[in-house]
Amino acid sequence: MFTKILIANRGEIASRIAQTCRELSIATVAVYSEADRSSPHVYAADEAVCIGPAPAKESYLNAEAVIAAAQRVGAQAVHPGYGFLSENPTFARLVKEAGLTFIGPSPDSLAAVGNKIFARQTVTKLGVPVIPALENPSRDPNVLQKQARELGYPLLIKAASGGGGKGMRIVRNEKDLAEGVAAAEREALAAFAEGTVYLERYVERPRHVEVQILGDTYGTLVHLGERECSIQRRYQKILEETPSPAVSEKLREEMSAAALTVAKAAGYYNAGTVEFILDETGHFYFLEVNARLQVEHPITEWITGLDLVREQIRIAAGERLGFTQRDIQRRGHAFECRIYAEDPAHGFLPSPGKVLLWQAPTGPGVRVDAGVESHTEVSVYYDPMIAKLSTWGREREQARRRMESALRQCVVLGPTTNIAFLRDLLAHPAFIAGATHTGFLPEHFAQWQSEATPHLSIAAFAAVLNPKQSVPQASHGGQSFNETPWQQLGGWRIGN
Amino acid sequence: MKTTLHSRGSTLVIEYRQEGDEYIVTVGDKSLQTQILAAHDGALTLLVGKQLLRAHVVSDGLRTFVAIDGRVYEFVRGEKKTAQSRQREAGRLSPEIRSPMPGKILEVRVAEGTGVEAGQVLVVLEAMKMENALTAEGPARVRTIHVAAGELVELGQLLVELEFSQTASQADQVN
Repeated sequence: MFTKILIANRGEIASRIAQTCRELSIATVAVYSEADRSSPHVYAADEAVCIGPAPAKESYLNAEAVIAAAQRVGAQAVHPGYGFLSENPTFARLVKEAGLTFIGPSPDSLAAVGNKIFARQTVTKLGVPVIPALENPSRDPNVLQKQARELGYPLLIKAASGGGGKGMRIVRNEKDLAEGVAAAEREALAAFAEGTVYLERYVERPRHVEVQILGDTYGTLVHLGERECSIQRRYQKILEETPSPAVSEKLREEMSAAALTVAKAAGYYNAGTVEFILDETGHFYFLEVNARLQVEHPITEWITGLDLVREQIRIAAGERLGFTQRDIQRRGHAFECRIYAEDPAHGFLPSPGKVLLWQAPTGPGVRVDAGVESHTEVSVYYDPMIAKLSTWGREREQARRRMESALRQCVVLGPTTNIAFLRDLLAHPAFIAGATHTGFLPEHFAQWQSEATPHLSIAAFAAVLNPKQSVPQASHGGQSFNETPWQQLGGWRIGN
Repeated sequence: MKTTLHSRGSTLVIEYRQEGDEYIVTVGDKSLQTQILAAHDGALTLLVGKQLLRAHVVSDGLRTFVAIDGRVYEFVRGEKKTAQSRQREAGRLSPEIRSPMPGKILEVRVAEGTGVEAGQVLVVLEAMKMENALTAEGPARVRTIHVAAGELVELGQLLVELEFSQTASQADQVN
């Protein structure tokens, strides 16, 4: 087993990985950019190394700087988390060549599944269904127009080496085609340093269902059930659940078998996720493999009782999985809500700035994975996700109610967040009924405003009492500065 | 003394006085009574009728944030308002296109002196890894462009000035 691991990531996932390492008595090394000097993930680790300036390209995406840091501190392994370098085969290879262990699949598997065009071709040969697509869109606008017409609208433009919705565009008619392709290429180039895009037929009202897999280097490969991640804005998930309300035991078996077939063909080991599109008639299509730990992994941990990071580290250290498919018991239901510093009432525009107050919820069946604390700066340089709340219940409704309660308790003051939006989402009848699809938010929440202000008057009173401001004098001479309620009751210390 | 607060485009006038254990709070024409059970570390415990409420209060310059029962209320004290919020309240279109966040200008899609339609993209801004298209709120003419592609911009920085057709003559007079 390793004695020191470098965590090549930031935010909640870096802190979460450090926690498991501590449990396993493995020392941890954080890396950070100049913008993240005082971020919680830095002091969640035992050591920390600054790897460059704020822009991700110069720090968290700088493979040489990360590997040099790992060598300098004497780490034996690198955990990439999700995003950044996690699915970059070149990085995985460089880590290996530096004599270190990459905690993830082999560079060859990464390369095989990472290129979506290649993955589609391989998967089709395995008999796993895929959505009709145009893999080599022409550079000639006239030819492209013809090709797109043959494929049929609506179309989805995707980055060949992408994820997280970056470089993705729906095109509903011909006149938006050229514009959509150009924007997708730009976003892909900025996010992945690789601007190739491809086109596929867009399935209406699809569900996004993915299967978690886990395999060791000795060929044991198991699945940990599915997660439904249909609730998305800007193609990014904001709420996930397991099991999916739309997946029967029979469908689960079929999808899991397909997922394992894909993984096996890629010689896949460590943790991975096989994503599918599930249409309204119960047919599923292979989408892509996410060759990393997923953001939403906590809900699988809730229902299986496994610690996926622990399994990842054990597998990377050459240990055997030690359990088989039969040993995996799924129990209950779990939800995850991603708390973003963004404004759902204004197109989910990111809302960077200082978190003036952060208070995490607690309670039975509540888990918090937070990347911020009070006084953490939500930077403009990175993804605005600040925390993940997950809840577990014996059945879906209990888990849902626990999430409602957790969101109510969660306090984020400073940046605007999506907490009120998530609460309204959880309370929506169609959501309660499990009638979700990837267009759920545009369909039900397109004009959403945070309407409810039940305690506006009392909130205004609390704001007026705030002693940090010039304190108001009572109109009838009853009070002076020293006799405001804060002073009378004592204990006010701002910022503590 | 009355305190004036602004919250989401509405103005609240708050007044309070103490009577024994109770505070009599008047907000506009509404009045309520409350007892403060505890107040420390930025958290107030209030009893309003039979309802027990916990309020977290934090200030940041002019802004004060209050969280009660999972909802956040944001207040700005006094008469100070941004030009934009005043325009929004008055239902007027904003001729000034300002950066909603710090970021990088990817593209400037219009030229000075050209006409634009409502919803037409003026500038594409990249911030927090996403592309954000800044659009014209109504049909207008592009008066001045203050930025170029590749430029880094700050929050609130003036990017483009428009001239809306119905106010064009007025705007000319101002110049």
